[in-house]
Amino acid sequence: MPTITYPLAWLAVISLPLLAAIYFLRYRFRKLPVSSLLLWQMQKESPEGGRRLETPKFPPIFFIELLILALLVFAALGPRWQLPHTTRPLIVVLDDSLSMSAGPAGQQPRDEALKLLNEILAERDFASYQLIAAGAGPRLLGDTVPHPNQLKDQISLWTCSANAADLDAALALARNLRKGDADVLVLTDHAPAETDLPPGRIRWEAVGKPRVNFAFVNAARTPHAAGDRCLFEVANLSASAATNTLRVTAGQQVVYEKRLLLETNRTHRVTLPVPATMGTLRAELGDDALMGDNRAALVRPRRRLVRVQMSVTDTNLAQLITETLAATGLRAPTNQPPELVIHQSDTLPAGREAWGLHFVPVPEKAERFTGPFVMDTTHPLTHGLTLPGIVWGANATATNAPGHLPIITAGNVPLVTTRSDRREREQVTLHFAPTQSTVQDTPQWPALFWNLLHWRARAQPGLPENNLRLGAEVPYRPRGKTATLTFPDKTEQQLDTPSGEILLPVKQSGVYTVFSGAQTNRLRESFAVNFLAGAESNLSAAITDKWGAWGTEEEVRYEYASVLPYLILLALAGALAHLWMIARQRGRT
Amino acid sequence: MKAPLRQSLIDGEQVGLRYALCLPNSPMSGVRGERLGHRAGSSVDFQDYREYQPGDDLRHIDWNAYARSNQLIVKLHREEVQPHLDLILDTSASMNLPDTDKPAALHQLAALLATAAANARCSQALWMTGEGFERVRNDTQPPGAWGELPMGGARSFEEAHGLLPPRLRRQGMRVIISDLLWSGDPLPTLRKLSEGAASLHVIQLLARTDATAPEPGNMQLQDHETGETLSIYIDASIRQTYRDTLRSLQQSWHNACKQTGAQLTTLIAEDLGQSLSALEEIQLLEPA
Repeated sequence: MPTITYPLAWLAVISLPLLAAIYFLRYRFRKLPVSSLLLWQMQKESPEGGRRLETPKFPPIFFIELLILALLVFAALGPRWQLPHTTRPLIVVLDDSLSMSAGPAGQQPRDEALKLLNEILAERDFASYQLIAAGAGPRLLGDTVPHPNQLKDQISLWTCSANAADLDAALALARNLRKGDADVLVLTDHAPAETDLPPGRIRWEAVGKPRVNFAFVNAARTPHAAGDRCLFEVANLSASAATNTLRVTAGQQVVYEKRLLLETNRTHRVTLPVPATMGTLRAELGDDALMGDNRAALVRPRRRLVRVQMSVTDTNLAQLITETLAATGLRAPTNQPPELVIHQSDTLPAGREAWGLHFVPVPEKAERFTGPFVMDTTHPLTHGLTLPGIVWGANATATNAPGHLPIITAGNVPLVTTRSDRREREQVTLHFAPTQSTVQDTPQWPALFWNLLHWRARAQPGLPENNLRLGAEVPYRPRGKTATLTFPDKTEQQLDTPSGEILLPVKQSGVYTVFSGAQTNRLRESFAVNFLAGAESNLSAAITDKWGAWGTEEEVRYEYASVLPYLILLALAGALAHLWMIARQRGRT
Repeated sequence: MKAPLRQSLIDGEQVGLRYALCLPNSPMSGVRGERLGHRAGSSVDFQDYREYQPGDDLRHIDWNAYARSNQLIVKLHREEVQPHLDLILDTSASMNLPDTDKPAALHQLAALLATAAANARCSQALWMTGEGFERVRNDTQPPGAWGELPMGGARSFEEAHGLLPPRLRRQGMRVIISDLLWSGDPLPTLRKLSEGAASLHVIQLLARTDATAPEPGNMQLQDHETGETLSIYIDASIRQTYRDTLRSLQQSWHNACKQTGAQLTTLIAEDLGQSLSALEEIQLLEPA
């Protein structure tokens, strides 16, 4: 398709219907009374005229004039044709996030983006075509294809259901795919983070519109001793104040219902204490621009308790640990077979699933360390720990045993180390002198044990959590080598689990069920995945605009050649034909 | 009658004063008049003798011959008649074509011929088409006194003749003024009209648009007589075909006239003033 240099020249198109109107008025059926039709009943109809007509017949010169006018109008537009050797590959980065499906059907940003893409594809040619969907991570929607018609199958994979759109990662992938020589088109609903786009031929087209949207931005269900505490957090992510209705149900029972009036970017939190036996809670908001974030579900969380065996000989220490374990609330009432053995011996605890917490004996004269403490903050054991201000008594001469990973150290003295044995059991070593320490008198002590039990609990078969955000990884430790996952639409998928832990393929929000293990020892769990992405649900910043271009005007000029001379030549040829026709007509009359 | 047509009658009468009807050489009949007839009559011109028969006027007995031959011989003289003109006008809708001089020319020509007939001491009768042929009111009077000639009859000349033919006087002159634009063989109609006529003249009166095809272009032709329409794209070939068809029609009339001893001439309504010489050429008119 050619590009147009002077779009205003489209106004000249009006000359075409004008010419047709002139000829129509001139050649319309003029009424002519005659004395008799006797003389018009020709036996032989003329090949050129004379046939009975329903519509006026225009002479050939009309069509020649029409052609000349059309050519001149086209020439006035300044059409420029793309040169074949200047075509580049096209990589289209499609925003795959949920916000692209905001609004009524047919007016969603996805529809607008497709319309724009089709216009661009019709406007110019490219050497090849590639689609990248930018969700939480970039993904190729298919192979590079040589013709735009072959993109249809790939476009159908563009579902716009992701909880985020990492366009930067997608752009980086696009640049890597063609080493920067491709034209990159970004189709999204918001502006780029920075007005200066990354280098390269990038054209950023935003096709969004600000709309009214309420969304769940948080949903959690926490088990407590008496029951569960459920939290729903709703936000008005519109550009103005708006109302909506929040309704929470458990089966047929309405647990909570309220009409909400929220200012822009304000949230409303609902905390509901529910019995632990209550099944899945479903919360929903009234219809708005984005339907995908109007529903949340919270399934009953599995209470994960750890069977702990105490093998500590020091009674004071044993009492301290026992009280601490009780404070965490994560200790199972039974200890057979143990999942965690707390001991003071140098030998590893028995038991196939038994992790160990080894209290290393400390001499009477232990060093009192006040810091600074060095901590591996990424380790599960240190989650939430803050050690400044405490005193930790330990053997100053202690060294890190081979294979142990230091988690907390005081200078070069290891305080807490861990090691995985051959059966992937974790063995935690604690250098700790209670009489020389104050750490057991601080909240850090039960926190450390809570982390330990929680870490152990997460290693149990099954799901670590039952209520998750869409986009989060869902690890699963099955019983046995296979697991069956049931999706929200009730479809099932068999999963092979050769390595112990797998990531469940969760792509959409809803309530899932997964089970594994033999019939007699089956582990069956439900888990809810909720679209809780406030940034993605926020439609107040959606915009329709464009940034960047595929080269400067000068570059574009070199990529296109003018076809004006050919059009003028054709028009002149038409004019000559017109003259010849007129001369011939005069000769005949 | 509309004022323009009445004026056409008066104009025709004025022009007709300069002409006299050219009487045919063939014997004529009619009421007693000033022209010699072909039968015996009471003029001073001797014609023949014959034997007396009971009932003959005794005043015509040639007593000299009786004295010589002792036989009653009656002396016959030529009769004197007044020639008669039957003017047969086509007043169908086709003769009332709008935007042409056809109706005015018809009136003018009729008045002219009637006045010329009067100049030739002829009686006259005007017949016009309607639901059959009927006489025009006051047709024996000068044209200015004629009754209305209603133009636009739905019947064609041929149909009107078929319904009710004119009661034409025997051995009279007959002049037909029509555009002759009707389908079918003209010979049967012409035979009936020429039967017992001293002479028959057929004047084809056409509008200029009848004689020449319309200019090229898309046309919706409407038959003024039947209302039938025809949408057609007219080009040079169609115009030529039209001219050929008209010529063919005129040829068929010419042949029919030849067979019936009639004289045919074609006049263009818009050029009537310049076409009167054609009537002299066919010996219908002569200077008075």
